[in-house]
Amino acid sequence: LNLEKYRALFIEEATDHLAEMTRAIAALERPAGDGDAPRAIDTLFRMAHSIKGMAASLDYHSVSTLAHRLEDWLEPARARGVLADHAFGALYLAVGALEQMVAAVARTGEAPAERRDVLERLAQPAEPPAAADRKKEAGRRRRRPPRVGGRRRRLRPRPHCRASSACAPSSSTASSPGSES
Amino acid sequence: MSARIVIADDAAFMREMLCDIVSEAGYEIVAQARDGEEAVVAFREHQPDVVTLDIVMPCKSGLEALREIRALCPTARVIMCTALGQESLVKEAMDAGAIGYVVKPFRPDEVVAALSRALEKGRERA
Repeated sequence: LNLEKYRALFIEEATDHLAEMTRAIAALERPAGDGDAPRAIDTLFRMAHSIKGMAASLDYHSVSTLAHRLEDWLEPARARGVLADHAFGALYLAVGALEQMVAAVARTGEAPAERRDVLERLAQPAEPPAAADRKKEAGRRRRRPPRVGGRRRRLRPRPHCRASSACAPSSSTASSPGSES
Repeated sequence: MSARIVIADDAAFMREMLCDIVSEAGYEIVAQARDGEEAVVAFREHQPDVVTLDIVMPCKSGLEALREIRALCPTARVIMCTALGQESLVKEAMDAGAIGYVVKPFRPDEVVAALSRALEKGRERA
């Protein structure tokens, strides 16, 4: 196979796919865009799938690994047609990293370095907890203050920092894993 | 006369790669399709010996196109193109009548072997 030809095709098509992914994210972010969410998530999934296949064909394993992780990460959201608000940060990061990697291929013709930071971020699920679980979790939080030093502590916001996050319960009880700030 | 093939994949890169492999092996590519819908139209129009269908495609997935093609022609020979991790979809496709599958990234020898098997099996089915 003519590697030069396929490398050029990869750069061209992956760049188009990443632009389409950016448009899909913009569609997901539109307040009235809920009706389009399943289509936008499906587009993101297909583009990631396609980039994975092309990169694997050229032995750009770092790119195919990241695209594959993104594809897997999107799968539950694709099945439900909804992407949780907290998942957008990871999505931006992943698409941005893929853009940088494709640009690096265009510059050097070599496989770019692996992005472990993004792979780790995508280890957190994109899927919001199921509604029932969220309800249960909220009830559990209301009933049970966090444990401090083996004893339960009742949280009382300190008057001088009522609006400050310093008074919020610790992150392990206040937010779901993978939540974005 | 060489066998006539329709290739369907939404990625131009993959279509190009399959076309190179398939024509190098001496088969004739009669049409290329960018999604499942185009694949069904191409099948109707060209009545090829074999269709290769990517599983993940827009408009109509490879599985949907496979079912439509098999409904149009129960002896149609369809090879699914799949990625690692899509084993359940491959099983679904085989149950729906696909005659074989190839896994991406494509290896020329595997693609050619899958095409030969499909043509051979097709002769047995006929």
